[in-house]
Order: sequence, then C-alpha cells, then structure tokens
Amino acid sequence: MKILKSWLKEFVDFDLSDNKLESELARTGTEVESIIGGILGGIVVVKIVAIKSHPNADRLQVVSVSDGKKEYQIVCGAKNIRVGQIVPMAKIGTILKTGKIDQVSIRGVKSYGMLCSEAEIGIGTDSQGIKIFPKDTILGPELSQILEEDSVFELEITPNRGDCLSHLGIAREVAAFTGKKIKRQPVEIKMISDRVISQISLEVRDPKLVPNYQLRLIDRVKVDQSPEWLKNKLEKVGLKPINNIVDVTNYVMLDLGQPLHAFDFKKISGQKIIVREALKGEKIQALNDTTYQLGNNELVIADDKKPLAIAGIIGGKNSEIDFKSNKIILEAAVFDRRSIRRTSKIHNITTDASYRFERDVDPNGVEYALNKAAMLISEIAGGQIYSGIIKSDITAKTSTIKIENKKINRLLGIDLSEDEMKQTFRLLGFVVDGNCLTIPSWRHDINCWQDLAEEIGRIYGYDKIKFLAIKNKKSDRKSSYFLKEVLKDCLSESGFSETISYSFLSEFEAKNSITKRSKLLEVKNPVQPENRFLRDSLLPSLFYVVAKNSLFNPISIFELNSVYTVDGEKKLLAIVVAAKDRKIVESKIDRAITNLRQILTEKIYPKIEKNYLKTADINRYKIKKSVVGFVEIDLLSAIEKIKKIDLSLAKDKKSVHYRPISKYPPIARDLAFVVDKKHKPESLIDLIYDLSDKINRVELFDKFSSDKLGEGKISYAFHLYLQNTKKTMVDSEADEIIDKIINAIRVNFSGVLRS
Amino acid sequence: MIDSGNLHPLTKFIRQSVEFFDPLGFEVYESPEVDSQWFNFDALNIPADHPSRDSQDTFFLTDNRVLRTHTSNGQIRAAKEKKPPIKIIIPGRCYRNEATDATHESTFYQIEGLYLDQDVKVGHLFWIIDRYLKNIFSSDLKLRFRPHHYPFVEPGMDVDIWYRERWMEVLGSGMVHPKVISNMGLDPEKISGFAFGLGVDRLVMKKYGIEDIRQFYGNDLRFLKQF
Repeated sequence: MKILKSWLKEFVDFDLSDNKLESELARTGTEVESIIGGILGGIVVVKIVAIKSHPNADRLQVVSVSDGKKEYQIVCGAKNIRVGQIVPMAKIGTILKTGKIDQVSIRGVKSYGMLCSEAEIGIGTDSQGIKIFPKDTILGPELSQILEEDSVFELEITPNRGDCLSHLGIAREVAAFTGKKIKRQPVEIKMISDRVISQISLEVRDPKLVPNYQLRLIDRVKVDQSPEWLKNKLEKVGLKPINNIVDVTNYVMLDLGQPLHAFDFKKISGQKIIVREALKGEKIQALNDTTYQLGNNELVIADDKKPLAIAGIIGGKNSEIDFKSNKIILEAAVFDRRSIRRTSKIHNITTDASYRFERDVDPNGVEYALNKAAMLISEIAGGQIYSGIIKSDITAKTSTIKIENKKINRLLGIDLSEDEMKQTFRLLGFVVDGNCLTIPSWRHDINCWQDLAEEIGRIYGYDKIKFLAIKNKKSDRKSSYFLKEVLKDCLSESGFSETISYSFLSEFEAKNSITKRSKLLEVKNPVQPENRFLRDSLLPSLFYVVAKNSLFNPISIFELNSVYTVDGEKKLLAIVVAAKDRKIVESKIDRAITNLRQILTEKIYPKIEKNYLKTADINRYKIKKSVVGFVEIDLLSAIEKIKKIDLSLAKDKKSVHYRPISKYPPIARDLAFVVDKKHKPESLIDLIYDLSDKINRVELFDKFSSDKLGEGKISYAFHLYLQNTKKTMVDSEADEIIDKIINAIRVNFSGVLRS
Repeated sequence: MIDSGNLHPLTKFIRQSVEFFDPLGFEVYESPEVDSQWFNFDALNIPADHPSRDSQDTFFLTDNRVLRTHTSNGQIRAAKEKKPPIKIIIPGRCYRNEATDATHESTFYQIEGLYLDQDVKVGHLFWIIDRYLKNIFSSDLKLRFRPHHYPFVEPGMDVDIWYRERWMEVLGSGMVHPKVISNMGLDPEKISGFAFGLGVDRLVMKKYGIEDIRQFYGNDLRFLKQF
C-alpha cells in the first residue's frame, strides 16, 4: 500500500526525515518496501557569501556559503550563482542519485559539499543551473523540512492489521511512536430539508453478514473531472482518477480505510436497496467488464429487480456513475470478512475494497467516512445532500482486556510500571480504566495478553531488550539426522557428489515404478499435471542427473532423501556410478559399499545389492555412458538399530569460491606444481581462484612426494575448468589464464610447473 | 589419485547450523514431509481461511493431506513426545505451490527452532538468533529484530541483516502463541517459548552470491562440485 507522507501530516504533526520515518515504521512493525520521490536528507539551505575564481581552473569557482552558523568552502562549476543568493547544498555524506558526496580536492582546492540543481535534489528537471530560493528563505534547515514533502512510502501491511490500510491508520502508528495526538477534523455537512427516507428504502436481509450498512443520497451533482489536488493525490498513491464522484469514494477509502461505493439513483428500480444473498445463477456485469455468475452465500446489493453490485467487492455496470448522473446514492458498510473472502476467492477478484473488508474495517468509522465523502462531493461536484442517513446497524461490541503488567514484563524481560504501559496503550487509542483496557474499535487483532505484550514490545523497542544467554548442554545426538550425515560423509569421502532432486515423479516414471499405482501418493494441484506423483524411489532422479551431466566421466553421485507411498515415508540412500567402462563402475561402487559397511554393518543391513541399468533403460534416460551401476538402501532398519551416533561429522575445510555456470562450453586443463611441503593445496587453490573469475572449478586430483622432486617437496596436480559466461572459452583465452596461474604460483609459492 | 566427492551446499549449511545448536542442547528433530492439515496449519493457529492455505500456495494430496509448507509441522508432535524443557531444531524439505523461476522454487529447505520451558523470554530468542546468524555470516554482522505477524507466534518478529548496504529479511520468529502451546497439551500460563524459521536456500544464496535458486535442485555437477 502506498502512503503519501504529506497526507499523513493531515492527521498527525510530526517532523521526521524520510529515512527516520522509514526506520521508525520498521521498528514498530510496519515494513517499508520502498520510498519513492521526496527530498533526500542531508541537503541544507545556505547563502552564498563570497565567490572567488579557482586558482587552477578557469571554469570553476570557489564559493563560500553559510548556513547561518558555519561557513563552508565549495568548488562549483555553475554559471548562474551570485553572492547573496540562497541555494541548496548537499553536505558531505549525502547520497544523491549521481553518487555520494565526499570531501574532495578539485584541482588542489578542497570542497566540503556540493551546490545542487533542481534535478539533483529531485524537485524538478532543470539540471543546468543551481536552484535559487527566494530571498526570505530561512538558512540552515534540511531542505526536506521546508519544501512540500511528497515522498511516497510503499508499505507492506500484515493481514492482522487491516486498520493500517489507510493514511489515518498509519498516522495512528506515527502518533503512537512519536507521542502525538491524532487530529480528526469534524465533518460539517449542509443538508437540504428533504429527507432521504422519502426517496429510498433499505432492506438488509442478514444483519449478521452485514452488521452495518448506511446510505446517503445526494442530488444535483455535476459529474466531471476531479480538481487537480485530488487527481494528484490519487495518482501519487497509484490510483487512476475516473470522475469526481468515484475519485472521492476512493480518496476517502485511502484516507480513512473505509471502502465506499456510489450508485446512480436513476438506474435503480423501485427506490429500494436490498442487501441479500445472490440467487443461484444470478448474473452481474461488473465494472471491470466481466460478467460473474453468482451463487448462494454470495452477498449482493440489489434493487427490486436486479443485482447492482457484488457486495464489498465490485460495483455493477448497470448502476455505474457516468457523466450524466446527477443523483447518487453513497454507500458505506461493514461486511462479514469471511463472506467477502469466500466470494472474492470463488471469482478470483481482489479489489481495494475487498482487500480491506477481508481484513475488517472499523465499525465505528463508517458514518464518519460516509459524511466526509458526502461533504467532499458537495464541495467538489456541487451536490445537495438529503437530510439523514438511512441505515441498518448492529451496535459494535466493545471488548475489554486486562493489562497483565507482570506477565508482559516477564515475557519481554523488561521492567515497565503499569502506568508506563497505560501511557503506551493510550497513545495506541485504547481507553484505560483501572487495569482494564477497552480495545479500539479498529483493532481486530487484540485477543489475549500476549497481544498486549506485542504492543508494548514494539513501541518500547525491541532494540532495548536485553539478550539472555541459553545454558550450554550438549544434546544426545539420538536423531537419525546424525546417521544420515555420517553416511553422506562416508560417500563424499569415497568420491561421490551429493545431489538433491525434486520429490515429484512423472506419469511415465509412475508407470515404470515398482510400487503399484494405487499405492503412490498423488498431488491434487501439481505445478505440472505431468509430475503429479510423489517419488517412491530416488533412482529415477539420479539417472536423470547422470544423463544431464554428460560432460563428466565417470560420474559418481548419491542422494539421501525421503520417499513416500500410502504405506508411509521412508528414508532411502541411493548411489549411482556411470562410466564407459564396467571395471571403473564396479570398483567405485565396491569402494562405496566397503566404506558404507563401516557404519551399516551386516548385522544392521544384511545385504547391499549392486545392480546395473539395462541398456534399454540407459537409452530411455538418454545416458551417454555404457555402464550404469546403482545401489538403493532403505535406512529404516539402520535408523531403528543405531540409536545413537557417536561419530563426529566431517569438518568442512573447503573454502568456496562460487562461480555461476556458463552456458557456453568450458575448457579443461591439468596443471601440476612442485612446492615446499609446508604449503597446503588449499592455499594454492585459493590463490588460483583469485586470479580470474573465469575459473569455474579447481580440483586437486593428485599429490605425491618423492626424492626425485627434491627434499621437502611435494607435487600437487589440479584439474582446472575454465569458462566464459558470455561466449565459448577459446584456447588463447585459456592460455592467458594458465600463464597467469603459473606465474603467480612461482611468485607466491616458489612453485615449479611439472611438464 | 584423489577422487573428491562433495556435499550439497544445502546439506553443508544445515550441518553448520546443527553444529551451532547442538552444543546448546538443541536436538535435531525430524518431522514428516507429508502431513495432515491439522499439524501443518490448524494446530499452529492458522485458520482455514488463511491465505497460506490457498491452493495457489500449498500442495494438497488427493487424500487431503498436504506437503508440509514449513517444518513447523514438527512443533506439536515434538511437544507431545517430549516434556519441557524442549529444545529442538527441525531441518528439512518444504513445499510451496509456485511456478519456478530464478527467485522462486516449489521445493525449499527450512530450519525451524523451538524452545519451550518455564520462563523463556524474548531476550533468549534474541540472544540465540544473534549468535547463530553471526556464526553463519560473520561476527561483525549487523542485525535487527522487527515486529511482524505470524499466526503461530505472539509477539512475532522478523530478523533483518544488513547486507549489501541495505536491510534484508532472513528469518521469522517470535514467542509461541498461547493457542499453539495449548494445542501441544501444555499450559500457556506456565510454559512459554520461542520459535523461529529460516529459509535455507535463500541464506545459502546470500552466503555465496548464488543468483538462481533453481541451481540447488538442478544438480549440475559444475555447480555442485564447487562446494
């Protein structure tokens, strides 16, 4: 929701820079997503007291300016400045759109700020000359305080705070944290002697779903464009002006949070407004030009013949205000939020009105909003307001709650007196009576003392809450988590890469799965209908990973994850090795099994079965390797038998130099260096990464020491994968990087390349 | 011949987190990925008409269960199995019904933390989150606690870290809502607690500067072998 800073000031006097307002709102629970426009902080009003020419530059001048207290020296290149002028100056540290203002030396003369043009301070488009203010402008203050502020704050309002969906609502928050009072102008409307009840009657069929419904009638309005101020305000907060009537209803909604609707009186049959459930199949063409077919349980506003609006959501074309309308019915109401939400979901329509009704509006604000809109319409569109309001309302219940001073202090770990808490609650609009609070009619989110604790906490400030240490006490490591992690370490140390893939299974895989179709779990609303089953095995995912990574040979991968069927959730471990040569596959799998056997002993898991994918399946998965071996282990028995893992997890020593993958082909090179044994391979790897961002990976694949290398020497051999994210890596580019690496290893580690 | 294998970056992050919480007495607790709506929503004070229960947000199975939308589904189960003091973290895979792109994924990992005891205070939550995030990022990390609404906590807070010259939200937290404590079979007037939940994928992205969230499930070995 967009909020205009100057609009907030209609409700509360405050004096905060944009940045301060943003941080105060965030601190108290209203998230600011962005601030648009406005004047930056750090720009002050100064007077030019002297101008000298720059000793070393013809086009520059050295200007002395004063903010009334202090003088500053500034180097400036603008031609329109004269002594005595009042101008804006960005102080050191100010961040303009063009960059940050630093203290600099320009051709040998120090400059302590910058004089700004209109464009630079964001109040106009002229970027040529320095902005000159009127002679009587006061020196010293921040510019943001003396110019009309029109910063727009884009806020995120959480669903529990429907009361914040208006300028009044946000102003209440500002009032609470600045300790100010909310100003609400009384609305005075002039009415004619004719009474509204002589013109229309109202029937609300289910007051439980419509606890408050009010209408005013205004005659002789002149529908036209809105005045500039109104159009401006609406546009700034992102609404398109339509005509002066609709604009006023929107304006009051943004102002007070109460949605309103206007009907053209002439288009209504029977001089009657009925609020009722829709008839099954009843149709209405809405203002968005879509025709909706309604069902029972959906509220409509109707006359004696037809529906005029989907209540609280959107108006109908058939009663729309147009440029010929001259007599209008103005509606303000409270609709049951569940009912609005249901209808809005069924038809997939969300409007500014439905959004607010779904989050509850202030039942005690309905009449004020209706009157304010009527007043504005009569001012802007000239209407004559009929006497009286026609209404159906159930008196809104007032709820009270006890201040639990001790409990609140205890939970928050603070020590506020009951009086201090009461003061905060008063600022938030609660009525205090002894140790009881009457909850404001606009707050629908206060139900228990913990809700009060939140109010105290956020106004008091979470930044002031003291940290409390939690006592050390090592856990028992009973969880199956540790078993899984130890198995992962074991496989990683055996040369396998861990993969993590989606839990979904395609229709095709489902057909081929060993689990019966009726035993697979199925997603009702999948992202892709094709992948609507949950996997019962990790293997298909791993086979796809093998196919995808055709650049790698051999490939050794594993996944340890959950699978699901109607019989429950299981944790499986699957390993896959693919290569061109059966011997390689076999030896890698055997090595993995041998290592796994250290943990999954035969007592725990009697038989680990090694399998090979059939050629037909290799082709089906589009795998470009001739041999694919795999193992899949159900960890259930291991989890049951190994209650406690005493093994510690491997320490992560690898320093990561993340490089996005290029979609263009890489070049692989191998390099081996002989260095002193005191150097760790990780040090060489770190250095190599730092030399070029075109290095996707450096992998140590061999190390050995022998007398032939020299005493105290060791050889490290690395695979290097070079890539260019913008084009195919070519040999000449690769050679350059390799030369750089060889050189750097020589300089930093006295390393010698082995040819 | 050195044949170097590697762990997935998500695994590594979760492990670093476990290694942080384990010495403080937080056990690792695992909860099911396919769960009833009661454990995933109702018991956590998320009413039937809450937006997060829309089919646009949650995967429903044909048997009306859901793919858990957070590992908070383990809160109630854990509390029923154990007695306070309860100190657990729940790492695991979660799901969101979402079309995937560079910043959105239907699959993600979460770490939930829960501490229930007599007299657990907001200060305990702040202490552990501050320590934890500094452990993950760096000891000079700047962070702030900002009030925020989640149905299962009251008061609720978001945690922002100062990252690349601006505040960035990384974690949701708060004091366990009294209704949730009641649903655990405990008395909210005697037992209090905190809970927090953080998205692992997004934090790993920030930690390494990874720009496309889909990399985590794409299983490109050129990506995986960097970790």
